[in-house]
Amino acid sequence: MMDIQAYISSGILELYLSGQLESTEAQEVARMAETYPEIRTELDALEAAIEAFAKGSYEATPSDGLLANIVGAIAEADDPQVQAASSPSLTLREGSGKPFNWRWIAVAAAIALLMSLAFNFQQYRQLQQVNEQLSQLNQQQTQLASQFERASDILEVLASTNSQIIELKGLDLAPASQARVYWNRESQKAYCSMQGLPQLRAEQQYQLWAIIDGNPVDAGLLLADGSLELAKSFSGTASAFAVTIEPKGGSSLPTLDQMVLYGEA
Amino acid sequence: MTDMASPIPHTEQQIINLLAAKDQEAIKMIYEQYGRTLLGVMMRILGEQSMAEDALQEAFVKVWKYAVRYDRKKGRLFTWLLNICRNTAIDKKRSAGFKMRQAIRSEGSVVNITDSQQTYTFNPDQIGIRDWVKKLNPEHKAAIDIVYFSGYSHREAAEHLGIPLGTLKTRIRTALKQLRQWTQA
Repeated sequence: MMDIQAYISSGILELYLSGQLESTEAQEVARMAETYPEIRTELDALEAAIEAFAKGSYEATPSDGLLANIVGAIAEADDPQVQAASSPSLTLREGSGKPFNWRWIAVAAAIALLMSLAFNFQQYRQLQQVNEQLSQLNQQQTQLASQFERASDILEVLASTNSQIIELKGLDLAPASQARVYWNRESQKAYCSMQGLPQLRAEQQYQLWAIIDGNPVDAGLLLADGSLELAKSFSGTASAFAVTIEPKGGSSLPTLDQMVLYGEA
Repeated sequence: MTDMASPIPHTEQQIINLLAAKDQEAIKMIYEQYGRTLLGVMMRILGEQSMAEDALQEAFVKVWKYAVRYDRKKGRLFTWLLNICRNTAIDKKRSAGFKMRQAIRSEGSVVNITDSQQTYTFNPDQIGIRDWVKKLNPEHKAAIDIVYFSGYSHREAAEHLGIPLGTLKTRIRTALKQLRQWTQA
């Protein structure tokens, strides 16, 4: 047998009436009140006290027409037609046959968004590719233009009646080598191509010289790969051309014992 | 004046019967009998007349819908009405719309917990009760006010009043005991 007085004075009934008990606890109190008349009586007395407090503490004068509004709202709540028409949220959820599932809208929206993102990404990739191609073409165009310029230059030198071709012959250091200098006296431009020359060490380079009035004049550094290269411009009338092996970056005077090619104009 | 000690006052029983019969007259009687007090409680929680009236209307619709669930054996009519009104007002107070309105008003018109004096209008039936409430220790009065009529949890209420939870419970118990003695006398 439980101690009813202890239960009453525990304060749980006051809590119960404040509406702040967990639902299981509240159900327990309700069950206790049903079982034990003393608890029901105690609750009733507490309720009466709270009611008295409310009546003595709170009072507000309602606006005119509040009762009419309330009665109207109640009539509306009773009328299923008005209820359906006046509460769109209910109509959406319960209105027509199939339940309207917002989840599918969300899923569809998400899919559409993803597709749009994928499409945008693809477009972006394509744009990137096109931009890349364009820049490559621009580069190619620049290269071709410079190559064309050079070819025109070379053609000008070769085709000119003022041009002279000088054959250079391999000396003792490179007897199998040969070179050709195309020299335009008028434009003072010279092109040179060499082949059959020995591979140089990393710190060495071939240098072309024009012999003018008996003095060697620097005509620029050359590669020995057989390509036609523009020589450094010089002024005066060259009587001969020579190629020497020089330290990398070239010398101001030729190292005579390193001469590999020589030819008179 | 309503006699709190009698088992079921006549008007209350009449309302209960009408409610059970789903007679709209019940709503009108509840409004007449408890409307001003319930609106006062709504004002206490929401702090604004139009808000409180909206909430009261909502609460009355619930009363009407759930009328068949009410069982006098489980409690007084006023307790049931108060629960519905309190919950409706608290829900409204927690709603985004209310918070937004509060933010817009921004005056921070927080209802003072200890001063729950409403704009009283003369009602001869309630003169006696009001006198009893006035006789209550102000601290006890504040305890009842905050626990039963503000929507605060007991813990929040104790925090708000700056007293331990145990003290708050004692105050409630003492105050309700006093009110019982006076109303039953």
